[in-house]
Amino acid sequence: MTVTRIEVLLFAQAREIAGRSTIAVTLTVPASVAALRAALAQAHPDLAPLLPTCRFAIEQEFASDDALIAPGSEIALIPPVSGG
Amino acid sequence: MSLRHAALVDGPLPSSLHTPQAVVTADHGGVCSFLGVVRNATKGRVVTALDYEAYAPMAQRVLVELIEETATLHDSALSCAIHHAVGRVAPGEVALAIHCASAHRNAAFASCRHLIERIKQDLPIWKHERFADGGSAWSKGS
Repeated sequence: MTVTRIEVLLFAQAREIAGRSTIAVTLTVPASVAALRAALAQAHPDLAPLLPTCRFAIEQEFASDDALIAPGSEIALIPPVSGG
Repeated sequence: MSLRHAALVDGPLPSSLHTPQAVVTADHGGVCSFLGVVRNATKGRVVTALDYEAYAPMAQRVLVELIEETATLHDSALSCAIHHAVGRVAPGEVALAIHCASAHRNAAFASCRHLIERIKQDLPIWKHERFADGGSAWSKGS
């Protein structure tokens, strides 16, 4: 078990709420996406209301809540999309 | 022969991307196109512009994956071109163009329909609406 710093890319309303395009949280790895979601809500309460509606992507692929995050992976928070 | 292409474009899509020439060959008897055009109003508010933000590398990858998924479901010989705007697009301008070409019409219609619905679900692009009353908001999607 190692504690590591995970950087998360932010977009759209999440980026606007946080006022920056990446945020970091510390997690004990291996950590699941669900653990990352919980850690983000705790470390950044202003983002907490948005988080239940968001998905996460690992290495540019959508990841389920039980997916594990490897240190150094590209992690992104994906708010509800509105393309088209 | 199948031609498959997907790309993000800065600003509104130029008229050359509104038409399906790039995917039309003598193998393709049916071509179906969908254009997404920015509307001038939403929920009773006048829209002056949309600003599209993308997670660009993932968006590019998702478009390629969705074309492959569509080919698997509807037509292994599908030809398809998709372009999506990023940045500012004004009402009346085109933000999305999907062109699907197949040997016969059913596969072209089904492919185009599938792609627009999947884009609405999974493409990591967000629209920020700017209103004539000075306000702005992130779209909730549709």
